[in-house]
Amino acid sequence: MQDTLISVSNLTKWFPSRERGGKPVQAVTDVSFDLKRGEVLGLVGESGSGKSTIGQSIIRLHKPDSGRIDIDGIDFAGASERALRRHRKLIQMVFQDPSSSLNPRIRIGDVLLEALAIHGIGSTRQERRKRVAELLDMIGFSPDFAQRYPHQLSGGQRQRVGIARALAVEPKALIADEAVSALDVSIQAQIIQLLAELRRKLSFTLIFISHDMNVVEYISDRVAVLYLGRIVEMGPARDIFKRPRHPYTEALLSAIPDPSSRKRERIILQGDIPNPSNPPSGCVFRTRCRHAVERCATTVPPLAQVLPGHQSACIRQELYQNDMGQRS
Amino acid sequence: MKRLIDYLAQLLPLLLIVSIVAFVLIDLLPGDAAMERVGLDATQEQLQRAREEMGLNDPLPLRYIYWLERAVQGDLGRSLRSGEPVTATLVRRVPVTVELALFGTGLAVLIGVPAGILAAVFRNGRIDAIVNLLALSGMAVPFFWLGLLLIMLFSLKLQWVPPSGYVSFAEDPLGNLKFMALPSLTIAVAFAATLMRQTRASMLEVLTADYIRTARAKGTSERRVILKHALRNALIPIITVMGLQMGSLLGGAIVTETVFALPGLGRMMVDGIFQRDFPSVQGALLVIIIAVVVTNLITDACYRLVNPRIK
Repeated sequence: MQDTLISVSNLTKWFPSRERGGKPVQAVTDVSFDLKRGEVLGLVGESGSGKSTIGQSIIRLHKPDSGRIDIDGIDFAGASERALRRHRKLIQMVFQDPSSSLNPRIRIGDVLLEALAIHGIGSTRQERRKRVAELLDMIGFSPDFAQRYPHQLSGGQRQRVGIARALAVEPKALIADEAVSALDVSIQAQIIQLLAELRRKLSFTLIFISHDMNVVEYISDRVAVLYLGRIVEMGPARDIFKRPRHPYTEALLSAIPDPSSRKRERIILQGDIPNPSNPPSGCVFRTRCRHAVERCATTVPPLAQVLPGHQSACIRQELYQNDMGQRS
Repeated sequence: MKRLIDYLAQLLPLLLIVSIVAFVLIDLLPGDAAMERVGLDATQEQLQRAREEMGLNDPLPLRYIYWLERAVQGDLGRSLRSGEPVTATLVRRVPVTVELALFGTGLAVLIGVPAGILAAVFRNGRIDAIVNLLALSGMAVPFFWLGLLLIMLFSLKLQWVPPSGYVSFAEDPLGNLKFMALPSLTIAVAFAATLMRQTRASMLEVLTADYIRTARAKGTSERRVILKHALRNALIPIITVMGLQMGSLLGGAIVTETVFALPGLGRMMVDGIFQRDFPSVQGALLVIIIAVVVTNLITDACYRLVNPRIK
């Protein structure tokens, strides 16, 4: 089962400017990656880096401007609305804010029933009700939760419902878009545990979008680091965290609070993320990069292999040549 | 139950105040019911005698107290004009206005809500522009003028329905509907326009909500997203506006009943005012106030029905 389930190639999504004649916002530019069945890909980056746009483009909440998205052999980028609806059960999404993502007028049981009914899962109402009870059990709820409205649940419980709703149709892949960032830290841990546990049990493919490096390290097999709508580094989670090959990743990692080591140098990025309507020439990160040289303004760095299965979009790989060992 | 008692507690002082104001205003009008009865050529003597008989010579506060005393016992007095008990007149006339209000509201909902949904779904498009233009015109047109236009078109030119008059539904159902068609449409137009604006605004707001995105991601058809997920949430402000509009609907009913010669509450009030027939005016007012309060009660109950969070 090591074949590719999701294949994204050259995905680009630019949003038109609000102002007449303004430059478009370059949310995502030329992003490509493949996901094997059962694999977990972490997408990290600061806000505005295009993480959510990638997630929403994959499930076609946005129509990509260009590029291909294939999920289990189905062309999601080009599918008609009608065809798309039929295939939506292949990939589902858990949204960021569990409170606003649930319809306040619909009972939990009906939220799940609707998902089943739309995709024709369970031939009778009886069967579907049974499946709803199973789903509730899966997220640790008793069957009487079916009668509750979203406002009668806590934030963590609502996100459990969000997960059950997404998994109700037995998708082959799940996108969790900042699925825990709206929750308290203690609740975050529970939800992450639940996701990890369900993934082991149901072995779906997962794209985990987050700005929280610790959480991403915990759950991901592979990590893609985004900056200004472009992948700047991608590789096995362990490599990314132990020997990053891009100055931006280094900066992100250095920002993780680490109580055990005091010696780690913090790399403070200067300024803000540039305006995505008018990104810097060459390497988009160069304006905030401490290693930037003149060449960086003229050359667009390709995402090139630097270690087995590990790619970086930085032309200054010589910086890392001596760094044969692991990061402290 | 507690709410019901609250409402009734509000109702009593309201009725008292409105009845006093109405009483004083009618008295302030030049002329009185006695003059209306004996006619302009009557002698001073005849007029005095009529006044005595009708109790018009008593001081104003005393007359009010007499009226109130009997009203609390369920006797609203007799019309100064026809001598008929006011309660009997009300029994005949209330159904006419209720029918008008129900048809008017029904038509307004049937026109306004779907139009508002269409405008929201196709916002800034051609449909939206047309619907908005119609709504603006609908709100701007005065009832009496619209009524007259409708009569000119449907009664005089096309001769589909009679221009005015009334038969009760019990007597002649089809005839009743024919008589009610134009008046209902007349009061529905402005109401539909208001409903359309409100529906459009609240649908637009709801359609950007996260849970609508969730519904789409789930694979819900667009039709179901709009009619189930969105409309259900957009309904609360729509119901609020409906409740608030009931007052002006009754105001519209007064004008409309006059234009179409419908023997309803509104006509009863207008005639009563012209004839200085204060018992009739008071009786009609009483019913209208109760109707508005009851409408608020129903609106409140509807909130509970559509919004599980209000408990």
